Amino acid sequence: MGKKIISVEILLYAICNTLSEIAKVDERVRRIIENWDTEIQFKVQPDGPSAYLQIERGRIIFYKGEINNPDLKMTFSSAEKAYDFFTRRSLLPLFGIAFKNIRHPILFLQTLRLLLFAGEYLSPSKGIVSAGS
Amino acid sequence: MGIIDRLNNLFATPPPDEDTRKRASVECLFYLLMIAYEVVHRGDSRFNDDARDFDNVIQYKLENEDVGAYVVIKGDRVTAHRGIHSNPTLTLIFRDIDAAYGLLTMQDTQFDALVFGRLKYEGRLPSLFRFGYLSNYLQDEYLLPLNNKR
Repeated sequence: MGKKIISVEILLYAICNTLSEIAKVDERVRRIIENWDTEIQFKVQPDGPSAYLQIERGRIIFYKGEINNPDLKMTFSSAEKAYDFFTRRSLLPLFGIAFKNIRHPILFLQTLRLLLFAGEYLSPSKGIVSAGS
Repeated sequence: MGIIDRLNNLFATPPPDEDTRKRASVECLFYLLMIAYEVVHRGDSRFNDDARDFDNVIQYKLENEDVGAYVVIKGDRVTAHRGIHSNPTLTLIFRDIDAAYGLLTMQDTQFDALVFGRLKYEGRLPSLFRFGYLSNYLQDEYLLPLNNKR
């Protein structure tokens, strides 16, 4: 397995976990999801990791793997594109994802805001991480 | 409430106070470290070789609080978890939220944190050394590059 795809898997799970945690404490996130009954799928093709968020009753629950018929699919066509997006090196992958979710523009935009908020918690200043080493 | 009011409300919401943000960051970064251990153990053969026969439950936590994350290593199976394990073999304990935040965001070094008592451990010393070695590899190969933007 290549380093990029390993990094993407770490980031994907860390971001999803962060969203489930900050939904408990961050009013900005709470307000966005307060009336949502929604499932959001993240997937990295062709053989990359996948995870989904189940959002209901003001809670975000994170699961590894895939779900049938999510409301929003954020599918990255390669590990490189997912890596560039998650590390904020490139926004280009978003255009394809936006096009595929053209029927849910608000949900898509609000999901991007959620991802930005998660980023605030994962790289709060200079970033990750030196504990244990 | 009209849609404009709702949108205004949405964007006007302030972020949580500093303490809450720090605490949530620390919890999320604890988990990131542990999930990194799980994923790299599964996908990186060099790491997997170095981690052979290292059956342990390793935990990060805050002193006197239920904030933590841990990784269970048993043979080839490694799983990361949120929360506190009842019987870990090695626990890295941060004195308080600021100590954890400082180290996790690299404003502090592990050497300083250990010397000045902001970080301590409970468990076997060989486990600490081995975990330190593996964590160093994780950090250099996977975690630090995430922050180095082009």
